[in-house]
Amino acid sequence: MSLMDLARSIQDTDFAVALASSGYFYPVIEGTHVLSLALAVGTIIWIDLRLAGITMRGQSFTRLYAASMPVLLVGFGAMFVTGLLLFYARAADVWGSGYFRIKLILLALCLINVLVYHFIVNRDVAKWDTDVVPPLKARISGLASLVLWFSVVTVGRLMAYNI
Amino acid sequence: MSWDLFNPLVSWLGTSPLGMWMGTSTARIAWLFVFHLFGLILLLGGVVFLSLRLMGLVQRTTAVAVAARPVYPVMTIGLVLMVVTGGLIFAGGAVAYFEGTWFRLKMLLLVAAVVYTFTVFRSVAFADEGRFGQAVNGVAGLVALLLWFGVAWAGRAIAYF
Repeated sequence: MSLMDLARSIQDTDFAVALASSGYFYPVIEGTHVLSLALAVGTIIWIDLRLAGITMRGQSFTRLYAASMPVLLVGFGAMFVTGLLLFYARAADVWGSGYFRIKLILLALCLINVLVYHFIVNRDVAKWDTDVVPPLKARISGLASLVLWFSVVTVGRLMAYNI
Repeated sequence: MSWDLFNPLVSWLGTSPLGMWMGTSTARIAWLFVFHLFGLILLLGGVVFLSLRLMGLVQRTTAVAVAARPVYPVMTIGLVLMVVTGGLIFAGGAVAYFEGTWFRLKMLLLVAAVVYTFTVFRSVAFADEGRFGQAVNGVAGLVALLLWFGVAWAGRAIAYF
């Protein structure tokens, strides 16, 4: 069975059909997915901008990071759950979209960037916590995150015209 | 308030060369929505960050004004981006948009949110530490969140209802 067959069988389930044809729940789920951006990407950009040495220069990075984390986790949690539901409702349409596949690749790159941050960049954070301009690896990490997340948003929004 | 006052302006915009041009391409509108969302990230991200700080939920050890200083310019850039892209999207279907109840609600909330953000909210955010009590700060933050997420939800509703 191909992935497309699997996607089609998901889209044909009663739950998916009910979700996709709901004039109320579908817009609310999609709206929550879009507006969670304010919490998720809207918060991560501050960590990224600080990492890149662009703004909040000299403020404690670990303090900013700790303060942002709960908001960020709520935001990304909401995006993930609503994103799964949106996928479930129209799995075959979505899987058939080139934008969606690019989005998955970009999300994988985001995940790699997070792992690199945790295992390499963050290791000696105590040394540059309040530096006006963080070390090169931190600046690269912050800029990569900014570019990747704005790219995810771009393909996500364009996808809506494509499915 | 009589919305009819705006009718001549709306129909002029809708039938202007710009309005006609905007209405001819779905791809153009799609890209404008991408940048509309970028603006939302900058604006609402800043509003969330500052409001939660005022409510005492994040960054309690950083003074509010210190937290607010780098955030306000980015919020302003986000607002300008949203107004410009939103205005162009509106031009592409001015008369139809203008008739919508959700659109009108969004515009009322938007005006309220902008005025509030650059008067009351700004004063509270940049006040000397301890000038206002936690209760005033908290309410100021909550009102900003309600107004801006009200604008955003009314905006989503335009697409559906």
